[in-house]
Amino acid sequence: MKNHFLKILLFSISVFQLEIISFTQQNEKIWFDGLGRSYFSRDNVVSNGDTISPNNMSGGYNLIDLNVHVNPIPNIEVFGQVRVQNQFGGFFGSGTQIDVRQLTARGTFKNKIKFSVGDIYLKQNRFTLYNYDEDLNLYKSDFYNSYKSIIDYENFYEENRWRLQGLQVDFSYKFDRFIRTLEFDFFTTRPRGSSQINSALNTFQSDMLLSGATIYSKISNSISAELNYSTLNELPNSGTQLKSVKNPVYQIGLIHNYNAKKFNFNSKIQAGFSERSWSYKVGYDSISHRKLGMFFEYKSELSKMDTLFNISWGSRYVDPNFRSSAAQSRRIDMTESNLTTIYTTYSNDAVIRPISVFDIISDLNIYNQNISPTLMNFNPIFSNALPYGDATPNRIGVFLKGFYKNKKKYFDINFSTSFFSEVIGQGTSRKRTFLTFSQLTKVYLNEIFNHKKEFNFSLGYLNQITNREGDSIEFINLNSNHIDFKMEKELLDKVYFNFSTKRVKALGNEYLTVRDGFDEIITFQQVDYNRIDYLHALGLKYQFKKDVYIDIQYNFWGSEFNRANFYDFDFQRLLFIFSIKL
Amino acid sequence: MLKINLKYLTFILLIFQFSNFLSQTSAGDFLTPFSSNIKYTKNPSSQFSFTGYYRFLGFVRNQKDVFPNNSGKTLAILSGDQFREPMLLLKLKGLTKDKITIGADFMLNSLYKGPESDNNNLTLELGINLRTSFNTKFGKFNLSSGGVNWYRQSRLTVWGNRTFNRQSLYHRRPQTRLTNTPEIRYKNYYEKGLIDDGLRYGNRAFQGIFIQGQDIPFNLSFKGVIGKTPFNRSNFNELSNNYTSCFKINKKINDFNLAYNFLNSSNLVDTLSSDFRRYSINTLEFSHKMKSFHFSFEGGFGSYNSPENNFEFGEAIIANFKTTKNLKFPIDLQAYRIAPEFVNLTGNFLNTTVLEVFPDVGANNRATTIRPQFNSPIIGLGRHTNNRQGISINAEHSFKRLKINAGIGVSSEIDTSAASLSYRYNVNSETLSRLYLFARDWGPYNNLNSTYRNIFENVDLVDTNDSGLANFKKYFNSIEFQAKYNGTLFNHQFYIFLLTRFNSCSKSFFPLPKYNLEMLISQLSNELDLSFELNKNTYLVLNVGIERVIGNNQTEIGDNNSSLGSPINLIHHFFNENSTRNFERNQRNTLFGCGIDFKIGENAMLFFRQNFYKYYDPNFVFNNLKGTETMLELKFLF
Repeated sequence: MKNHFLKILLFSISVFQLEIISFTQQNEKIWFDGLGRSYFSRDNVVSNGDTISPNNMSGGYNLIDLNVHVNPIPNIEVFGQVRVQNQFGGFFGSGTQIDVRQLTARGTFKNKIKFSVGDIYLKQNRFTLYNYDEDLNLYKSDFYNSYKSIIDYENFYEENRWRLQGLQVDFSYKFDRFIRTLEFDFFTTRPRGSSQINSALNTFQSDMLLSGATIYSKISNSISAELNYSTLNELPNSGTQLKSVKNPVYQIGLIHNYNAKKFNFNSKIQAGFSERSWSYKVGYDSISHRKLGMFFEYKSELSKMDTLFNISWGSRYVDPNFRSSAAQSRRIDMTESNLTTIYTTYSNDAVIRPISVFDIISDLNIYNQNISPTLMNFNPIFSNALPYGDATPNRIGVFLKGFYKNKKKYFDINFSTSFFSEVIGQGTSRKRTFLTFSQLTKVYLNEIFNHKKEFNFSLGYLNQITNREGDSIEFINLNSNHIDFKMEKELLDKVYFNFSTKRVKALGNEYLTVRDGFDEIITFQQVDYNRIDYLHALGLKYQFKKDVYIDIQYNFWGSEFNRANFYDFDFQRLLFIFSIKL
Repeated sequence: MLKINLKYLTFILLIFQFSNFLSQTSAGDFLTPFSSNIKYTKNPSSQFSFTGYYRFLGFVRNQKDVFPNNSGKTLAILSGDQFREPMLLLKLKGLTKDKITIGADFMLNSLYKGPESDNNNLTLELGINLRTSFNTKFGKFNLSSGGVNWYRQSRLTVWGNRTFNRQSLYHRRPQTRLTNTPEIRYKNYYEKGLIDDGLRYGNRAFQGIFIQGQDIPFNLSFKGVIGKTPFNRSNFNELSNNYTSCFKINKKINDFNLAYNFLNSSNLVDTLSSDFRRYSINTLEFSHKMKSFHFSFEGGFGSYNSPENNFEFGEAIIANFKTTKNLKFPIDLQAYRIAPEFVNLTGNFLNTTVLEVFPDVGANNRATTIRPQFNSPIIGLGRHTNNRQGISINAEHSFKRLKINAGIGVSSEIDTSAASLSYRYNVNSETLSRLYLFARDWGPYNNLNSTYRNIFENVDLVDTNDSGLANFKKYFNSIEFQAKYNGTLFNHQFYIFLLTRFNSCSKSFFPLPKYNLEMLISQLSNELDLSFELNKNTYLVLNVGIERVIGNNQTEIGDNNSSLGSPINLIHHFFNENSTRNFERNQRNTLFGCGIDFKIGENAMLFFRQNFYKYYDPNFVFNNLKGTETMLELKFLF
């Protein structure tokens, strides 16, 4: 089917060629852009003890994403993205894959109502629909930006939005009195379509819909109000599954904005509640595992008009039973079945290699694009305080974060700290506490020494301490330290030498929660950590511009578990990326 | 649930209605009204263009006589001739403001087998390429990645199979370029001896990272690649650590050119062990151009290591002396020696010493397009193999409108080799290769091997030593003769091309090829092409090809012990009743073809070909093929 579409598309393009020999962007009704990428990597094992894993592996691909924009009438655009990918080593058509990656129609009716149908990128509120950054992402830093840009692009991560498929409309009104604006936004999407589970039993998975609405109003120049609603539903009659989930979330917020001569002062107070339950076609109660939860957040932000300084603080309460699927779905599910791409198994016992710092940084295949109605697994050494972002349930606490940029552009600093506690204990009446501190400093040596070519280094640090008092079984103490360092020197025009290192050390103990299919905790798994993950990268990068670069790097990466029966691993990678965004 | 959804829908529709009702007073021009969707900006900052061609080939083959294992299907009606060629080729080129290009060639085919058939597909013809260049004060550099890229370096390292371009013009290949008029193809060949076979000709297919530097200080330039060739394909998976890397550093000193070439190729034998099949080559090139002559020389050393063989050292030399074409008798003298230990699959020579180095990918004896001749190939002038040394001379001269060129060559093995020979057919090679694509050891006697639009046959020798090798070194002789004539008949242009190729292989040295039973194998072929102008846009083309191959009693014997009907036996019998009779190979390949080249319009041509072929050997009774091929080719360029 896809091929037929492509054929029609490509044939129509070719017909254009016959008429005008060479079709270029001058045609306003159809225009193109896209992306091209060459990616080659060679990985090898450094650990000597492993005699089963291949000593080295290499692979890669070349791809083109051709974006076709068709504007049949003004204000309407049909957008299709065709991916053509050729595996490295696949000659003369072998290893070639052609897919339709995105297909969207969007536009504006009568210059008033904006709509999008098809593949859409949606974000609402941090508690209703939001795609939080993955673990280890410190202030969206550019430590491993070649990897990061590929992961984000391949997983459709855009500005903390979920890529969904459906319909979205928005429109707004302007008023002369009482209120200034009234803005509406509606969407309905299908994060998962019905599909066959078992052909022999003829069983089907149900469709899952995610819908939502936002009403936003600027009541006055300084006061705004918002109302967000999202709901995740499985449609029982679209499949043969006996149970189907339902998860509506409501949020209301009030925003106050005060503009002084040199400062802006914003405050926001918001609250909401959620319900999540399963309904049944036959048997059981009609509804089970019903959870009702709420949240409350207060946040203030003080920022200088010249954007050189910014500080925000607040407090948050998220109920243990607050469930918001579209805001709590994680980018990485740390379950054991989420397998790494490179050296999936290792050691002479061929054990499954756990997700490490390197995999989080580089492996696009461990990332998730789906909305999960239940809480996904996380690894406490990477993120324990807020593994589901600000919507992490069972948290109460305060936070402070800020940003300072030196006027002479010598350096800039991001910092953040928070203290959270569980609302109720897990498996005990004792509660965990989470103390987090992080900072990222970037120093521009070229500005200090007045050099034309860029020369800078960045130092990032994150420390997260988890504690729970109690007896020897209840007691938890986990200290996780993340250190990042990057140095970048422009050798020739646009040619950068860079060295970066990332090290995560976790020491202590924790309990991992094991949940059933209804998200209920069924047991705890005790884990002891004395683990060090590291990734060192050395490379040259020719950066034509932000989205056009050639990057050659050598990575040294691995994990030390310092535990009996746990094999350390140590690998190296040579990487070449040539990426062009057209 | 449906009711709930209907409620939502009704609610949304009401809102739409409400907005329409208030459309006069509501505003659509807020700076940033809330939207859950991403902000969209239109930014057509790059240029995309498409070029390519459409080529339809209607193909009908009607077999009168078939091989004994034929299923009974004797008539084939096809769209295309089963080779992987695009019907619609769309070459995409994207160009950024930074002059970075991105290219891909889409290939779209349809078998036209009715609505039930689902054999339509869209794929890439060759691959995807990303290219950029940047100027620095140290020189100009080009970098590209992807592939397939066509790459050439030097004859001993990376070079396509390139010979003296003596061939019949009757056959057309998909890559054959369209000319402005039908005549130009024949006229160019008559005048310049050149056919534009596209970029592939003389180059090798590579995937990987390519870099090239020019105008570097000290008159240096370089180029290189790290990647894979089709010979690096693996049975394991795409993660196999198989690579070919090579580079060339070049220095110009006035009319002299010096270059150093390096090539290394490695194929993993086992994913767990570190065993590789690996060869490495270092060569030096020298060339000098004067007013009327050009001299070039390349020499170097190679090594080969694998679990099966270990060659530490092997030498290779190719020297070439040629005069410019404007002399009365232009000549081209070539001498070479390539040691058996000098192994390379990407150079301008065949590997005949190490069999295991060929990748063994594919199933059912198929997909072996990358397995060329291996068993002591009988090859034409201009081609080389390892384990061989030889010399050849080519010359040309014009007698008014008659142009002739001819070459003669002799070569011998350096060491004894496998007890077999191989030779390519000059006549009917395309026809036979279409019967069983890319198959190895097929045919009624399991000795035919199909490659891309070509076919070769293996011949076993009976005189072997204890280790199973031939008990002697083989000697090879070749003569190629070509005559071209252009004339006018009733104010209509016509071109005649005659091509004679004469090869033989023997146990001892002879200065010239011979067609007799002293030779292990003698091969003689004649092809005559006539192109006649009917009008400016139409050419009538005719082709007659005759080929004879005979083997002596040192080669495999056939399955027919009655040698009657064999001209070679009659001749021998005429001179001597007790003379040796030929019960071995006695092949005749004949082809008569006719066709039309017709220009439909600008960049659009139609070609028709009707072939009557026959492949027959009275001594190998199952080698008996006869039939017709009809081809209608329609090609548009855009």
